[in-house]
Amino acid sequence: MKQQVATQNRLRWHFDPFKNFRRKAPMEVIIHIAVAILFMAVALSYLYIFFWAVMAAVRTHTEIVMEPFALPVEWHWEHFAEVFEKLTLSNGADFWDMLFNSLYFSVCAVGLQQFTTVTFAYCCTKYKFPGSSLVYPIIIVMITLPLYGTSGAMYEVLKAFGMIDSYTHIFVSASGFSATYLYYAAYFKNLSWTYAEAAMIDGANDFQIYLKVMFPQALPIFSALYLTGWLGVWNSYDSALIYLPNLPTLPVGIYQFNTEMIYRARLDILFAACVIISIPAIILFVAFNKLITSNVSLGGIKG
Amino acid sequence: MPQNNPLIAQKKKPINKMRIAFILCCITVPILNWLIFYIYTNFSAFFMAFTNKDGVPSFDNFIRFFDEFRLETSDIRIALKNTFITFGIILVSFPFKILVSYFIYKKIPMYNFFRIVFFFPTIIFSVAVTMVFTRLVGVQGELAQWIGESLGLGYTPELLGDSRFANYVVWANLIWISFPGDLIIWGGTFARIPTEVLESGRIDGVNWWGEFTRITLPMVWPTVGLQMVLMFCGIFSASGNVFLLTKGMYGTMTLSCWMYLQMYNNVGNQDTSNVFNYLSAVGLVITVIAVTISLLIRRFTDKVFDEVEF
Repeated sequence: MKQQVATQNRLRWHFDPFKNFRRKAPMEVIIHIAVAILFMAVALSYLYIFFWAVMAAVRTHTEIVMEPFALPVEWHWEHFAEVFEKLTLSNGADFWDMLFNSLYFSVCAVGLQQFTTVTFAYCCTKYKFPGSSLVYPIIIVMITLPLYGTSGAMYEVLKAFGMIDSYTHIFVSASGFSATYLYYAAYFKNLSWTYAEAAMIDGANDFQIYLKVMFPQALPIFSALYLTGWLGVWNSYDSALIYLPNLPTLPVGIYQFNTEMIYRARLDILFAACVIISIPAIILFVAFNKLITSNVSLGGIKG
Repeated sequence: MPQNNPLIAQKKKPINKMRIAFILCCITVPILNWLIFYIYTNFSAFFMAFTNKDGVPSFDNFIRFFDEFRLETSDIRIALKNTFITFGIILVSFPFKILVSYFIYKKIPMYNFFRIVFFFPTIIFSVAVTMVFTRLVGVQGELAQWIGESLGLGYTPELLGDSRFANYVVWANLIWISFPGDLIIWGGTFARIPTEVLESGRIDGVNWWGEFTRITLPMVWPTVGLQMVLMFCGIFSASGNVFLLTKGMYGTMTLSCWMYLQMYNNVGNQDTSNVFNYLSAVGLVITVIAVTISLLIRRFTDKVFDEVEF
């Protein structure tokens, strides 16, 4: 009985949206409610995108064209299954090719980029060698002095290295000179060296110290930055559309499928694909929301 | 004298080969990558600006740019104008974006729900979001019909296919999509404010407004300053979702969309056209202006970087 009451209390407490108003002034409460109403309107508009895409996915192409905002007359759930078979491009790439490319370029490229950067930042922060102190100012200059119109030259360089339409394209990401470096450098700067000293006394070499002692401690920030980077690459289409047109990732495939639809109109398949592809990103984000939002900050706190 | 004994000196500072190997392993790849894909590429772009497609030195790319810029209807001129307007919108909306994260941090009702849903435009493919948005503002949508009726046009305008409306729709899309701002950066920054500071403020009788203006805002000021500096430095990158919405047509071109289109439309025939060289020249002119702005800003805001703690 006691347990039941405790569970009820816990549930009531959990579902109480005004639990944070207890110590607030009336004006603050009013402002918070007004802001929440505004936020709710925006949030609902975002949810509507997803809802509309799901509705479009279960309707027929003609229905979507004739009445884009109507609800389905018949629910064609089979469109979701058809995506795997019918989302094909004129260059022969099908859904599975696109999925593989998306996974390869998002998981490997971001992994390579993050691991190169975290290792580079660790080395420059914890070891003194000629030029180690120059990296930080170089990166500050790079991020504050943007260079424009270099994509043509980049294309030529990538072509010379055989990295256009190639799986070797991921090596472009193996760069440590980026804003991400600043996060890792700050992290390692504040991380005590005593752990490493203790490992040294135990006979560990520099590789072991990094891989077994220091890097595991940076895993929360590494995971947060990895997930953020993964989301960005998983959803991006722009550079892949130029540098990897024949190895289409899912966003590129959807863009190309949309462009090619003059020949075979299947908006239903297109939106079913959009829904299917968004789901892993949404699940990952919801699952790791706290990890992502509490480990990354820029600029720090004054005080 | 032990200090002068070379053997002892050698013993004091032995060459740690393992350490050298470790350092080399850590720095070789990023430095090589930087030398090839940043230094060499940017130098290459610089020289491409001063040559034609055959590699012959020439100022033709710059002459063409200034000739095109003189034409009032040229894409590049429209692009520059729209880029500045877009930057203005981003600048004005900047404080509101900070407030979005602030209110979520202050745990307004349903804050956990907002914290997730506000990421939806980032999580869901921009290609998909744009496809849905295009239909929302299309001729069958309420908005286009309402505009047609309100203006007494007698027909429903294609908002994204009409130069009178297209820019407004692109900007509305930008404001709508970017409403939550950078929740990751700001969420993380607010989360790092020590709760004891806020608690002691409350005990001292500071109300919510005083807490925001006299405690929270001053504490996150380095981040505000840094974000402002970075925003001004990237002024010429300001753009809405122009490529996906209109491909820069109907007067919606921005500089970054223009540059992207030069690549998108010409990859494959770059050997026969001068497009990469022209792109490099336009980029160089913009870079010179951007660097000037950036240096001026840095001159006045160097303190921002001194105070910054990432």
